[in-house]
Amino acid sequence: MDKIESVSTPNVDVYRRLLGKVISQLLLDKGAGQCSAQCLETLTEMLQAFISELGNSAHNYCELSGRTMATVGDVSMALINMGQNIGSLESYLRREQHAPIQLPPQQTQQRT
Amino acid sequence: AGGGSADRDRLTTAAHLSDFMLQLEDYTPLIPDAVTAHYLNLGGFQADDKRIVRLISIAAQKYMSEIMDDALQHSKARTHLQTTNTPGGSKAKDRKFTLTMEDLQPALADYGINVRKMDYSQ
Repeated sequence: MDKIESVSTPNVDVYRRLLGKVISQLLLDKGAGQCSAQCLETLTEMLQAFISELGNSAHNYCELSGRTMATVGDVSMALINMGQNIGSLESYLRREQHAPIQLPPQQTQQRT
Repeated sequence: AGGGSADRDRLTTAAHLSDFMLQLEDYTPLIPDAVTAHYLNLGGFQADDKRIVRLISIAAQKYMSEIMDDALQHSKARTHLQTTNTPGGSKAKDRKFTLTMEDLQPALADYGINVRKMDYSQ
């Protein structure tokens, strides 16, 4: 009799799960071996909201200047508007080195 | 004279940013490009240059990193306080930390973010 194992995490949103992975990796690199589920969820939501909000803001700046393709200037304006320091990004880049997270393998369906 | 220095500041910032964009070419951020691009596209954002997406990934990564650092600092201070207050208690030998909402909440409060749990939530 075949027994089907239940999947604990439903395959709801792949992008969201990858963001969770990013947060977990960051926490591990910082020395936090464990984290409560609520904490992980809060941080994941914050990361998602940050990216969405930044994209929204940059898109608005882009459309304000009559363009459709966003430029670096739009993104930097959005970053400044959100209170982020662009000058410190470069030092962060040099300081932190992480192994990038691999995307899940894409399945290709074969047509017969 | 004041306007001149402001102009110079702006020019150096612009030069700095263009140098930085060149570096992004061979740096892969922790967040995959496809994931960032997906969330950006939800808001209508479109960019043909993948370096722009990477700039956003790194900014997001740094933001989260700073918050986690603060939260872990809170955690360390709290556990240190606990171990010194209880004589003969368990020594904090293990360097692994557990991040809980108890530490994340004050760290986020410093950023002006108010995290409140509903009374009925677990």
